[in-house]
Amino acid sequence: MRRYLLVLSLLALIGLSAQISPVSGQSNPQRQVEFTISNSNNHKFPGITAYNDKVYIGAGINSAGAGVKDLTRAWSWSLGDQASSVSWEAQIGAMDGYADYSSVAMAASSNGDIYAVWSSSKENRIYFSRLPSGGTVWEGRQTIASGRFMFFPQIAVYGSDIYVIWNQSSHPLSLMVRKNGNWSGPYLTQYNTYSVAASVATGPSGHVAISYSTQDLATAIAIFNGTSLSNTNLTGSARGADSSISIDANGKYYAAWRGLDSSGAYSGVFLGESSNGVNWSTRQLVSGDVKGGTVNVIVDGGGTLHLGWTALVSGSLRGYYTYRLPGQSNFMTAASTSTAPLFNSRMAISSGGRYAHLVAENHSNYPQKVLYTRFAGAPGTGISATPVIAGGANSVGVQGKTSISVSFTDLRVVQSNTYQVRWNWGSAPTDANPWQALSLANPTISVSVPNVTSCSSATLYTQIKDVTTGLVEVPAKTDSVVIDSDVQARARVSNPYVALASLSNTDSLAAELALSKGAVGAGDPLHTRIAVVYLDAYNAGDCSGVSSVTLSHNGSSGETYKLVNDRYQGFVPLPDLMNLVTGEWPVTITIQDGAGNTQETTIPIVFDDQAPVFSSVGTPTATPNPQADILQDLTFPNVVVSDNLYQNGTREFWGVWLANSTSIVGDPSTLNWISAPVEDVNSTTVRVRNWSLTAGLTEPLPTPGERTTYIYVRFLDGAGNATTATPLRIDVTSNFNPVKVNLPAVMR
Amino acid sequence: MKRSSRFPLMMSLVVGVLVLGGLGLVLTQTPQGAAQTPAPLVTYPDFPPTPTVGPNPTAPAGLASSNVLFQSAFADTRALAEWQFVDQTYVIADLAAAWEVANGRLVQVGSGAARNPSSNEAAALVGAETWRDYTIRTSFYDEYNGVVGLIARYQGTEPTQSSYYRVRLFSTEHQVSPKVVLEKVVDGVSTTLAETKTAGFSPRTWHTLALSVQGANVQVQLDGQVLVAAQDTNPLPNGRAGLFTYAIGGIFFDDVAVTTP
Repeated sequence: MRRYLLVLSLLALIGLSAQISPVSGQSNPQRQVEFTISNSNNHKFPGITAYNDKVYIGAGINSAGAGVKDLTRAWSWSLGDQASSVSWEAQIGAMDGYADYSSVAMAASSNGDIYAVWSSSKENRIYFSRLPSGGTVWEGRQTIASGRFMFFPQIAVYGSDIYVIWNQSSHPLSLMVRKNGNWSGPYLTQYNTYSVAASVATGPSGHVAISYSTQDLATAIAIFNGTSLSNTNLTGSARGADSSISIDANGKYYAAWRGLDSSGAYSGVFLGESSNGVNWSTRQLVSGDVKGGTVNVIVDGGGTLHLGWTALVSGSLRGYYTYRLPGQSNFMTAASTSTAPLFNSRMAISSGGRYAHLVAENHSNYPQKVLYTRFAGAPGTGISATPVIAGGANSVGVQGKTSISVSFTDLRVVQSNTYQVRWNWGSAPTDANPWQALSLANPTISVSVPNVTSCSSATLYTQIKDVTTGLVEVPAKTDSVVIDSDVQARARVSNPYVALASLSNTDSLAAELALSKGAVGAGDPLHTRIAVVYLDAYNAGDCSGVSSVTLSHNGSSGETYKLVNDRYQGFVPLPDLMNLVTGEWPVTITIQDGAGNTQETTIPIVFDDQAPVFSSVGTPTATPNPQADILQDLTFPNVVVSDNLYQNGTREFWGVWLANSTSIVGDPSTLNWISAPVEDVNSTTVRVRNWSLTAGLTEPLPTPGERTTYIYVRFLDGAGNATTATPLRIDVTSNFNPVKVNLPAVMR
Repeated sequence: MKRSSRFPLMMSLVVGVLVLGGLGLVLTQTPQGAAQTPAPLVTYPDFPPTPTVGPNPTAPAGLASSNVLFQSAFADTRALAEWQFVDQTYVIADLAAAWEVANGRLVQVGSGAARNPSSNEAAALVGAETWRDYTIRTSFYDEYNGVVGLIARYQGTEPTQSSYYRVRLFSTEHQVSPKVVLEKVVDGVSTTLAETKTAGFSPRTWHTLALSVQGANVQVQLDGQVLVAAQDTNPLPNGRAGLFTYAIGGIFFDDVAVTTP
């Protein structure tokens, strides 16, 4: 029975854990930066918005300092969303108002325009201004409404449409709408409002929703249908205040507010969710003494829900932030501000949800100043698309190309929304890089080839933008690739017999070559007497490697040989073999590197299968080397040999084929023939220098002493074909004095 | 034997699955339109428990009845009737500073019906405009407000246009200097009579604060020690006494007494 209970308990525990544990990979939000904006004296109800990776803060201030309660300027500050200090500030416009009723609210449009709206309570006016995208000067203020005591304005933007709301004491909330530059309204909520700041939000397809606190302290929602507001009371009286609202990319509404009690079922933070703005599901997220202004809720483009609020915990009024990933029911453990007491906070989200920015009135200062706190939000949330250059290749060949294909993977988008992408080589895109359409069905674009040295790495930065919501992916995603703009390789085809001379072992050669071993090394490199050439292709520093080499002739399809370990060496048939005829047979070598670049070279190979014809020669002579008469210079005057293809000047033979013999033989073809090039002595005489009288002889080297060697001679054309006439014979008598090496004397 | 020994385990699994299913439903399903019983879907970071407001150790011994103009230990909510609560900054009606009597103390609880903290300058006035030379003394405990003060010789009906002496003290946690300011407000315009750059008062502990006006002399004492004193060559003649703070909430007053020398 005990075991039974134990198993049951374990199962229940596992079940509970599965229900409430955060998803692995999530991390609790962390406070990253917190500072007070030093010149924000006396402000009340600061406003904040973010666009891309920039944060904009607004508040009414009075630079006169402590003791001066009225505000005279609507002021703005800006900083990067990972910065630790304000980088820019400017006056939005003048104001004249009681501090508590002269607040500034801000919103960003999808193109980066920043809008501000503020109440100038002593003037009974609501003002409006715009900071153009990338600009530093606010446009002149416009009056939206006047003649009444109005306060706590809030603003939302959808495309170029502007929505502004404000409170009036014991009066319905007012909504003004600007479409196509024209203001309409005010549209009024059903219920009179309690004097706390309300909230307005826009969503896809122009959804507009307002959350507000009714005069009897209920949380109410008003959905704008273009001509009127339809209202829903979410809580009943004396059950909620300080609400805010947000709309996700699918048009789902989220509202958050606080309970009015300090503990129990009607205390703490509440969340309402609705797919249609009419039927709401609400729940208490946490109980406790939540006070001090708006419970901020923002749902980002990826569906992550962000909450920011102030609460009295452990005897201090601090700001708190947490988030909930899509599909989850639990929020992460909240992070808090370090400063207290704070209240009247507003929150913005940047970089697709990675950062949450909370501004609040910091009443640990006198006069109060704006406290800015940045929290690390939900990693990996928000819209996202990962670029993949050239299908993920390590290098991309750009020879002759102007663009490179880039596809996107790991898309974190809302399928029903419209997206754009912008890109830049080397750094994150800016406004100088135009947005272009990105198809979710085929997320591929072409980008221009970067201007970098071949074989250097280039990094592409991309950002996608949800045109529907204005959300921009931040930070930019990257992919790097080696840009390979040429082929660094060498390849040659040559007379196979010349190549044979460099091979130490020719026993395994093909029969055709093996039969011709006697002509090893003979001939011009560009001639061949058989339908084979020697191909040598290798990588000479190509960063992508060399993949293949193709031999073709006159546009024939050719034959391709794969390189192994960046090299190919071997005897290969002449291309277009079926049509081969004697004569010039240019071979085109096409080398392809690993990135797809190609390099083409044509070698003027001559196929010559016809032997030269010997006609006559003067008397050949042999002249001993003075140091060692075992070496003889052989001179051939007035050689008359004709060949069908080979020509070197007037000479139509390339060299000679020589064979030594210790005796006169009847069939010289059985001798060991060795080829040797000739050099021109003059226009009629050629010479072979230092011919060894022992070359090709199989018997042991004879001891020095006078003896006669018989040298048989044939003439070779460039392809190594030998004359067929009876060989010449040169009889050489020598002492076979070997070559001597004289070492220097060593003194000891 | 084997068959019978497996049976409890199988039963455990079946029952366990049913328990899990039930738990899952309870934790994930919410009736539409209704707030659930507390479900900690959000948790706060770990902080020490909220300090308990202990008994007031600074309660004075009995006062000589002939010297007492006014005294209150805020025994019940009827004590509120003796006070007039005014905001010394401009405020609309539904955001006026809110005061309550709870646990035998006068509590500043923020502003308006929603009890939101506000930076309104909030005063609780008592007595008559004829009061001239006296000391107003109070015990106070500051939880998170950070500002406490006393008022003397208050005259006027429009709070932002009135005249009075006022001392304001900030807590040690406030980033402000000076932390003690004795000021004279005439028709809503403040002039500093004296100030000191002390460390301020410690929050979350009981203190006594006293403001005395005697002819042209104005003196402030914290926990029996003179904090600041001034002589006004053109003194305000007479007026009501009062407590002062910001409408942030989080501050308790007790054992208020106004006595003559």
